[in-house]
Amino acid sequence: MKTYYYYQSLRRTIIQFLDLFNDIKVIRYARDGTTVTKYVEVPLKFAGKEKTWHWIYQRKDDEMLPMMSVTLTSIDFAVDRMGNKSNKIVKTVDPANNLVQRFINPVPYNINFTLSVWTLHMSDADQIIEQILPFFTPEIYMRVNIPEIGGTFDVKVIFQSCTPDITIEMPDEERRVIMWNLDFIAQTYLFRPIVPADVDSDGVNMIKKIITKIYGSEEGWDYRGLYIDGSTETTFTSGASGAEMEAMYIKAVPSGGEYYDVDGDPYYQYTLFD
Amino acid sequence: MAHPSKLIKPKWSLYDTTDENPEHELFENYIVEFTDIAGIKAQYYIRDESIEMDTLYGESVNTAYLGPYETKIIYEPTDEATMTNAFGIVSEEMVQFAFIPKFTFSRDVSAGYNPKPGDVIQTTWNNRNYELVDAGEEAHIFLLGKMVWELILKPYRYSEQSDSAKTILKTPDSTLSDPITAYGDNEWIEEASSAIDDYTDVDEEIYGF
Repeated sequence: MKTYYYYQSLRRTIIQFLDLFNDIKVIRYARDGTTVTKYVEVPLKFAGKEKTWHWIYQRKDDEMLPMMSVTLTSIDFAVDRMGNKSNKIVKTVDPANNLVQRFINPVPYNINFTLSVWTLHMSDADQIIEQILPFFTPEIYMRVNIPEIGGTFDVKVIFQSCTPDITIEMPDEERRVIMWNLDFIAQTYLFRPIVPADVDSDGVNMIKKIITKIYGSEEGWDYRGLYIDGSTETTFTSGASGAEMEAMYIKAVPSGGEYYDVDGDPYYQYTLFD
Repeated sequence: MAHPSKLIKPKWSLYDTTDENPEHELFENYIVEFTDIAGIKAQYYIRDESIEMDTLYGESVNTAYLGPYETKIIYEPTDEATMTNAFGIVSEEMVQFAFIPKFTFSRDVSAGYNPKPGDVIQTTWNNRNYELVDAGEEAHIFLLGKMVWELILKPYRYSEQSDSAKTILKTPDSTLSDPITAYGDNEWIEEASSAIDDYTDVDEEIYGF
């Protein structure tokens, strides 16, 4: 946790969640009550903001309704969605230079949101809620793209409940207030820092080849050797590895011949002993 | 033994609102004149009762207003406390009390109409709009009873009900072409969301759009 990084996963999840409710409208009629005059887009905002923001961008004498507001109420770890904590996801960032980057499995968190709807009319609340609930069965999916990791993931948004808060009893100085609170859970992910594609430091380099050797028995290991095209046999010396081993292989293979692959790396054919 | 003059009861009282009571007339003239001189200018909007209401919810979405009618009211501006909450700055708890002589109301607003919840008063000195929450006549019962409307006011609530509702706004011709939507972050959210992912390369139906 000592390296600064910020992938805006939380912020982007919030914005994508807000966008789900961004185009909700209510209808308005002419005096006759049947002729449609317009469709009013319901204002939507995230709470809370600084007081300064409200003073600059909002009048404070009249109440403008309807209005929708999203509040982030809590963030909980989602143990049921947690994968292998050590598994690494590798992304190719520069195929030409075989550079990759990796990050550890994303960490699942549930973000709890409350969408509050405040209307002047019950029929407006009806319209708003009816434009939201049918899309949640009880879940909906939204996409979050994190360019920093070069990936996009789906976030499952689950509808929880819808609770009215409507004034029924009104003393002299009160009037009817209509509010609805809709609770949702957004199953998002947070990320630990990416190991950068930097071969000069602690970065990650691309694995181009994987050479596997299988020895069927201890005797096979003791007498391990290889046949190269069935004509030449080379036996490893104890402790030979890396460049030393490769030099042995190269020594055993005719240079410039058909025993080199397209990259110029020696091609080996292994034969199991025993 | 009391003085004989104290044994004679007056033939009138302030509660006698008949035309035969000159003292009542005098008192009414006094409060009307006081309101005309010392009152605060206001525009009174009558909620149009001819708009058909939804019986189920007891409301009319397309509420319209008649007026404005210029008059004066007596009220002492008090602290209008506001609350900054999830919706922004609201004054839901704010209450103002205003008074207007019944005669003044009949003369300036409407002779055959009594103030009702839903009417709107705009105080022109500060361009504030208030919705009538309650109208009573019990205030100052001993001196002004039955002569004065007591009005309980709360901030006006605008919901794009009608053109006349819009005219009540302080700045109906403001640069905000769509005043309601402008109070949200909708446009910004749309742009920010598209920058994150605009779903162009996928079947949007999967995502419920």
